[in-house]
Amino acid sequence: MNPDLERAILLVEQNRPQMAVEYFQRALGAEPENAMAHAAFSLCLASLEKFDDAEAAARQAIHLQPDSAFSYYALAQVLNERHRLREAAAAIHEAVRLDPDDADYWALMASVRGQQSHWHEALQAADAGLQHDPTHPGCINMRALCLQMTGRGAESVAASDAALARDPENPQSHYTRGLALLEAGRRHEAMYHFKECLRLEPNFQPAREGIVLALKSANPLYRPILKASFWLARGGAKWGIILPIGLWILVQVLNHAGRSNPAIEPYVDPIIYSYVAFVGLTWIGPHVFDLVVMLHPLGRIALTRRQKAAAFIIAALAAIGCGLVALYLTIGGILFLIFGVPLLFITIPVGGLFRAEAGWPRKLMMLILLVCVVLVLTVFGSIFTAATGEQILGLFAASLWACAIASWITIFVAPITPKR
Amino acid sequence: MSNDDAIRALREALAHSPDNLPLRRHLADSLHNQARYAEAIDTYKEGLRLTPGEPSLELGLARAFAAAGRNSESLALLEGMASPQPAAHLLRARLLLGEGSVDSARAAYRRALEADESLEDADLSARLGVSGSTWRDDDERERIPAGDMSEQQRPDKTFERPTHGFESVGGMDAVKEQIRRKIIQPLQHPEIYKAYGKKVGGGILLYGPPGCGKTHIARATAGEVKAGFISVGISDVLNMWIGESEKNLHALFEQARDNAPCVLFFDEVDALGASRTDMRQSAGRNLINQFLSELDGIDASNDGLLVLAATNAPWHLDSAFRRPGRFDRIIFVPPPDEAARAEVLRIQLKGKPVGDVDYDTLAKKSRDFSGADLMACVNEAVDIKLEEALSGGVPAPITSKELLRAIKQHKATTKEWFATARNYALYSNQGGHYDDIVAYLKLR
Repeated sequence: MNPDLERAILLVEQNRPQMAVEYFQRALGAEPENAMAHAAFSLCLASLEKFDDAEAAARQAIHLQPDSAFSYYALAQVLNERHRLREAAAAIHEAVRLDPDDADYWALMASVRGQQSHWHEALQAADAGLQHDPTHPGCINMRALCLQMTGRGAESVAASDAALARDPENPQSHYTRGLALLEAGRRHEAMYHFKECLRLEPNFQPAREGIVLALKSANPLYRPILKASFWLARGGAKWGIILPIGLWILVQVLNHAGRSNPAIEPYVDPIIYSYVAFVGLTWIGPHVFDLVVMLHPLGRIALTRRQKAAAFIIAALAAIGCGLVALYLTIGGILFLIFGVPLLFITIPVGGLFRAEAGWPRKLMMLILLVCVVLVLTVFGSIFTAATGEQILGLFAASLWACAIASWITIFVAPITPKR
Repeated sequence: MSNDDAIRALREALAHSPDNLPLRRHLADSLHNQARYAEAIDTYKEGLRLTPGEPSLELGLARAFAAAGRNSESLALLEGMASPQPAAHLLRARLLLGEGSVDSARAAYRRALEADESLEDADLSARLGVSGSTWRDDDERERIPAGDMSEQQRPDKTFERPTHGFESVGGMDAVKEQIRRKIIQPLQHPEIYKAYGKKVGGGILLYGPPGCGKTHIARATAGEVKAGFISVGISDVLNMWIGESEKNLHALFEQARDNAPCVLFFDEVDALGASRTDMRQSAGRNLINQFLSELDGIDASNDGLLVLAATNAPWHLDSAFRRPGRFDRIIFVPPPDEAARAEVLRIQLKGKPVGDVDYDTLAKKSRDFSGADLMACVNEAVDIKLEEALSGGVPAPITSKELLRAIKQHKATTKEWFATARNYALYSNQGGHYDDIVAYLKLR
């Protein structure tokens, strides 16, 4: 092998991709038609988040050697990191077709299919990889995760147990086991495994999130939300959209039916209140529970700044809003209601902003929040001007509708990971 | 026959016998001699296409590249040659000298002369301070032969005697104090330590964000104790991984022991002692084991030998490195504090035309900046002034204004390091290895 290429690969293995670039360039200067060097260079560039160059290098590798599985693997890896999952799946499929004996390729296929919520196919890929290399850590961990996501929790725990028996220092195995235990309601054991994962790999963000979930699950009020989130995660992003829409339609139908059918009328209001409580809990609940988690020393360090900011802002808005509505209900005064309700509703686009991923989804939510804030401030401002009651009520309704529409947009936008 | 006719005749002959390598080389050489470098390059390349790796064609092509001013291509070609001829080393030395890489040029020139003394070039020798049999001392560096090692084992490392001590290091008082206590005193009073049965020397690991002066303080430590200094960089370590690693490493330690008291400094030591599980090559483990046995002084006494190492990623270091007697003394080198930043700026602006500069304000505004960041800002300020001088025709001194502008535009490079370090300090600090980071970031 070209000595520069050897050095470059060594540097990548030692987490020094920046230094490896120069050696790759030298190696490619000497051997511009070396497909393997282009493919390895593309992986190096991807780790430096130079995605355009990385993709070009991978495609050049394929162009030079179209029957090289490694070149397709490199392209799949780059596309995976760019969140272009469909194309990544096609590329890794080709890599596996060309070389079905490499467990690395099967592990990547399992990961891509998992991210697409095709858990059964992901499980098949992980199993295929393990047939070729029964000790492959990537395939073992993907298998455990797939088992959990397909509702086979006990098998998942057993699989991660086996993985840990083979390699007790594997952070991913600890994480997967923690997740399975958390779903099984064994939060103390789950917490131990999340902590172990972070001890071994402190930059592993999902384990920090696992700790936050384990701490939240100490609260009985949060447990149903956690259960629901696991259930939703299994169904993939589609359930996150279908469920709220389905419930909303159900409530509308019930409301309509209640008016025309006196027999079911007494049940309508409790169902609608339950629906509102459910919506409120799913929107505001996770952030408020984050506030509770902050009381725990581990929670304070596990929560990100963004999560803490969201918790403080949303809890403050909700508390002030609830207080003002409570004042209206106890001592009366429509002004309390006009000030309180928009504050409660504005928590929805604020939550949406914190849920949206960086990139265009967050920018969109920022814009929506801005519109909602302007409308709410206009409502407040109109009270001190010569606006008529009708005008104030019109603005009031418009601001609430804007917040409600923001919630629907968030439902669609929040699960999106923008392409890079 | 004119030159053109000769070339034409050669081309015609080659058309009848395209596989004739000597003929093609002759044509290419003739083109080169007539300064028709572009045509020469094409001819050499065509020859190499037909006979890949032919050394004489590669050397000819490298010469033609160099003559055409395409030095980087020439150097890349020379560095990639499987078995370079002495003349290739000579050409490489000239090109490297042209790039300002004096040490590398000197090493290449030495290889050329060792293989063929007749290649000695008086001008090049004078510029590199080198002759065929001896190597000249200069003011700052003194090269000492590496004992009785065989040629193959001899490490190609420069031995220095640094003349500057801690006074050349801006700020970093706490680090200097730790080094004084842990390193300098034992070396200055070895009899007291020996009386208590304690070895003098050993390993010290400096860690911290990049660009904060770890290498500088290591060199200054050697200057402070009037010891020799051998610096081993990342490229040397890479060579060890790829080449005759264990022998080279042993030879390096031998060179340092022969010249005790000596500071042997390993920069980016984690490249040598990575704890990565992906270290599949068994050679990697052998290299680590060799390094550990050298540190332990199993086969030779390490008295008077101080092994200093620096890393930006202590978390990647094999835990065996931290055992007693090895790198058991670990010093955190943080970014310079406010006073140190002012001091660093004063040192970096020394010798430059300076006007009204408020060092304290600059230091305040450059929070979290490393020494390298401050250097980048000074360079930026110099560029601003140069541009003004070139357009206005009147050179003016550097003032706070340009420096503040540069500081405002620059982002502290230490922040990314601390984002990772924070996680290790929070979640992976069971042995208390990162207590200094915990204290620095006020995590408790």
